[in-house]
Amino acid sequence: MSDPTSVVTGTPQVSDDRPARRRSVLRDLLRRPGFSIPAAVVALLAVIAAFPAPFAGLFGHGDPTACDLTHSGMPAASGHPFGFDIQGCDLYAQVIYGARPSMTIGIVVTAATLVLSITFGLLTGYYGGLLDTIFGRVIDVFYGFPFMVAAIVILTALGSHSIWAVSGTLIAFSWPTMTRVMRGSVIATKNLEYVRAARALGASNTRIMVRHIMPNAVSPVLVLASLMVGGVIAGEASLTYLGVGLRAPSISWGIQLNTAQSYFLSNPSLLVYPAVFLCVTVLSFVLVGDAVRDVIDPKTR
Amino acid sequence: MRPFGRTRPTEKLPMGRYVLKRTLLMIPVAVGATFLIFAVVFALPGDPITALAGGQHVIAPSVVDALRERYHLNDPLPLQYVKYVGGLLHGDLGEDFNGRAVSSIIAQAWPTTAKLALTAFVIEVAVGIPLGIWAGLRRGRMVDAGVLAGTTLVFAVPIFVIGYTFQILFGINLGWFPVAGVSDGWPVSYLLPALVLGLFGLATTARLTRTSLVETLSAGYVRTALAKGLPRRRIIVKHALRNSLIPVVTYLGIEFGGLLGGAVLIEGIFNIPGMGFEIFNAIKQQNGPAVVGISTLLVLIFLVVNLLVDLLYGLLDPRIRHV
Amino acid sequence: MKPRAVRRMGLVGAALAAVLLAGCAGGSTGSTGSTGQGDKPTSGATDSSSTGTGSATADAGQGGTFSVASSDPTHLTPGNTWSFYLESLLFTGPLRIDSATGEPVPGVATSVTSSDQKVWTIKLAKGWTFSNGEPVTAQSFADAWNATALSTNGWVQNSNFALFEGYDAMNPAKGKPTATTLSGVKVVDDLTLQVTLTKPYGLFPYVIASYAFAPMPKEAFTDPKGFDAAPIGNGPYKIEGKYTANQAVTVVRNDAYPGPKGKADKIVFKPYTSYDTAYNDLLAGNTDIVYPVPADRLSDAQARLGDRTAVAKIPNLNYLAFPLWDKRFDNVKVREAFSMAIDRDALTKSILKGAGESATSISPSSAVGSNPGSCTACAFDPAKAKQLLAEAGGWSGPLKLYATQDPANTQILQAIANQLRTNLGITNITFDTPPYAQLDPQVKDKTLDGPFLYYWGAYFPHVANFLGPLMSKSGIANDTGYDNAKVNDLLDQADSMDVKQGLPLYQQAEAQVWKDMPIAPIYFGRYTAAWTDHVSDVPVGVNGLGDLSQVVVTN
Repeated sequence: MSDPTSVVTGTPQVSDDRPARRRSVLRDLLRRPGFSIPAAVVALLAVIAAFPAPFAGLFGHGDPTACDLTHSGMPAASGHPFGFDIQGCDLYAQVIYGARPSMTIGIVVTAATLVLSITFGLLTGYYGGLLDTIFGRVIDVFYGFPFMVAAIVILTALGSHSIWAVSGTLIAFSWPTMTRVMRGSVIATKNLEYVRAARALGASNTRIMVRHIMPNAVSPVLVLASLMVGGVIAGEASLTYLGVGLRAPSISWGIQLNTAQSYFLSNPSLLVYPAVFLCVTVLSFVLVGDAVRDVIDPKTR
Repeated sequence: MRPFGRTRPTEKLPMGRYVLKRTLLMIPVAVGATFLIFAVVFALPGDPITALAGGQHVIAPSVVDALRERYHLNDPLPLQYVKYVGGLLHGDLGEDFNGRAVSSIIAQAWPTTAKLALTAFVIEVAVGIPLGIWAGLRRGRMVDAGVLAGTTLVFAVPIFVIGYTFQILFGINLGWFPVAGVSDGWPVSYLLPALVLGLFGLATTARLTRTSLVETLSAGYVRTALAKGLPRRRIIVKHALRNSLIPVVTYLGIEFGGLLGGAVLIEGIFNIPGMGFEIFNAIKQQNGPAVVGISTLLVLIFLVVNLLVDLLYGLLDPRIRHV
Repeated sequence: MKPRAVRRMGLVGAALAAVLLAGCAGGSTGSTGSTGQGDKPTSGATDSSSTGTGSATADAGQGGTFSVASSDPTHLTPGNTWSFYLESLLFTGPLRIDSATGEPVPGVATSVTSSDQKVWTIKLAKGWTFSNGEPVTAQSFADAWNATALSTNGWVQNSNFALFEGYDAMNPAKGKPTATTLSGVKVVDDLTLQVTLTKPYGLFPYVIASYAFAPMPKEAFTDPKGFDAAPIGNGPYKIEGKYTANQAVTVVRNDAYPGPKGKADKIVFKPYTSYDTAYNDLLAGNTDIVYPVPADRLSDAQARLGDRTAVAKIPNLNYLAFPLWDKRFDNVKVREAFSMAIDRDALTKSILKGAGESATSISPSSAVGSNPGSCTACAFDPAKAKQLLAEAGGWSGPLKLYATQDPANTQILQAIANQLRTNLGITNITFDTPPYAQLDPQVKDKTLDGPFLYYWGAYFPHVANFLGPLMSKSGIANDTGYDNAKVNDLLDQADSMDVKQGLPLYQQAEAQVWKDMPIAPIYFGRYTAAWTDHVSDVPVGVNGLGDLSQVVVTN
């Protein structure tokens, strides 16, 4: 965020040694257990999402579509550590396979939104003028629709319930918030002494934006992004609840949570297991995000 | 490459002209948004009149035809839009497909939603900011950990799960709050739904405040002031807080606009007949005029809220007012 | 973040999670409200049978206010609403269906008779008035019926009049109506109506035993919008104030009612979109009667409320319709194979949790003329199913199943898909649950590419109101396009006969239907009503809830 330090003390903060910094960032991160543990969890989840079969098969019943209605809702048994869901499918296998769409949507949407909003935020905040005005109006148009409503309308009109349709919709309604915050942050940063100093020294606009403004302006956005992943996954679950997100026969935590809601009181395990996995996922992302921000934010070095 | 325009940090637009400029810019946005909504809603696949039957009943084909005629659904889309705008210019938001006047739908739903949104917002600000400050001041200690853990939990568990759980836990089992509906009036009926609605925003606000405060506290000027021996509380309140609140204000402004129309899930669970509820049902029934009418209103509200946030932002941080 | 902080965070997080989840689990074991004694379970037994005799009944048990969970009615004009319970309190039609027996009993009419089942004479009782004092005459009925039957009014109960002579002129397929009154309805004198049908129909009394045939006063036509929000009716209750969308509707006892007087002073209809919320409200004591109780709460309701629940016998059928326009379903063995591969008992037990009963005939046993077991291909026999499918040449390619968007439907469709996959070996099965407005046009256009799970709620509990609408060529709910001349003939014949005589013919028709298997019946919905100890004598029967005017407020 803004750093009025230099206004008071008048010392420009111009950074220079890029390659060494990059290596040391990674080393710094790995040295912290606050990063390495959750990052390991995230990595594990990513592997599960990419290759669910071996993990699902750990207890011998790895096919989430082998469902027998006579086992509906039954509790844990040998070979079925989580028991069965309403359809009589192995709940453990379902939860493992559910990681894929949820992780995919969470990561894709957050990454895309981050890229878009950093870019747009930098451009509109730095250049201002007509570009900023136009973007401002476009953002306003997106704002005018509350997210849920607009998402429902768009997904109903699209008619598709694929991961990409849902991701696209979630991205479309996430980038305005983040861009606005980024823009505000950029505006507050760009007038600082050291930026003016850099410009006076003849640095090009791009260099200024990327090397000086961005690292200082980016931390609120990173905080938002690390918070976003869970929100995105929960957003997908909400859209599914309203009937416009992913749909069976897809397998995702969102769908599992929705189904579990109708059978909440008679079969709480249907809710607990996907919720726990969801919780752990979000927690890991947030911790990773926090650690990354702690390290790369120049003010806390 | 030279940037468009020139960034002259010391040039400021007088407040009045700034407000006027932004207000005028609102108009094309509102028009654009309305047309987009209209086009998308009326281009939705499926027959809205059939939707009235909902799959549980049968409506005679002759009646379906008569209703389609009545609502101009057999006209091509541009013609429908023109007729709709014609009505709008006369101040007539039209009738929805159930025969209810859209303006009366809005007139009833709006106060309810406003109460819910305001209550949620107050909760977010009154609890979120102090919580974030507390956590930021006690960085690394139990309070901080607690706040971080709690907020993460809020993000991880989907809002409708929280909603149903709270309803059962606090409404039925403990009996602290009414379970559903608005029959107990404001604020009693609105407290629990507003809490659930505001939980996400509260968590975000708390985290954002904490992060921002932590950063500001470690800034050079604060450390300098501390070193100079100024009282800690005065430094925090007079210097650090104001600067650290800037991103929080930005977020809260956006959040408030979102609260106004986005409470679809909460209004459904707690049976609150507000705008989110109306518009959700309208979309499900493909009740075009209602969707367009309510959305238009929401667009306008949002634009106004945005303008106010920008003005507030300008007041808090004088460097920004030239945009 | 420092390691200690991480550990602390983990601890606190776990504690918070435990609290939240304990809240979830605690919901089912906590108890509220007493399981009051002295509340008799009723299954419609107290529903009195005759009205319109002009005498007042005892004042025992009068007084108090109770509330009922309902959906928002949108309109209150009887010809333009689906709101059964509210309208039945505000209006009294010529006849009513008795909740316990399912038979039509007198309302305003004292008799509905015919010698040829085509021309019917309806005699009305003297002394009935609307709540504004205007007398209820034959003309009041004729006016209401003509308005409902006119297509340009766009009233949803219009299709009830399809049997009446003159309906077609008021509901042309193209162009404007050529008449504004039904030529088959004649006002003979103030208390006598004569109705001529397009063909003989022995079940006519059942048809008019509905609030859709209620009379309307002259004021309904001078101020239709006002009437729609504050109707002036002739029922045991009248509206207090006027109706506003999504707000509760209160009705207050009409002390001038010539039939059995209502017990409660006031009844409040509270609108809900989610019956889960309604049930939560019931547990908190805010709403007195909830019907239906969501499937997941059934075991909780039975455990908690005990004999303050009852199962309704509302006549309905949930069925899998085969797209007979799709060549892949041409062979009857394919259809039989599909039907035999579905384990209905497992479905109703695990997915519906008892809120449904396996269907082995077209109508449930509570409907007159039902023949459970007549659908032999409805019995679960996976071996035979596989054999039949093989005989028909097997199945290749993808299979898509459809249902309307509804949480229960999604689960049922998924279960059916799994069973077809397991029992018939069809691997490429997908399903979709679009909103009704998107699904139905594809069904009506005959472009849908797979079987669809649909619902039929009969208007009265008789097998004729299943066979006719679903299986006859012109049936209003015949979405498969099924057209069997023998069935059409049998139904026409049976319809034209006196009620009792037609039954064997209906059963023959049903037997023929199962030889052809155009649909696979899956289950009959069995919906449960629950109530608090604030009320008693809650009638539950063939209409779902029975006559709410007879509910007694206990405390």
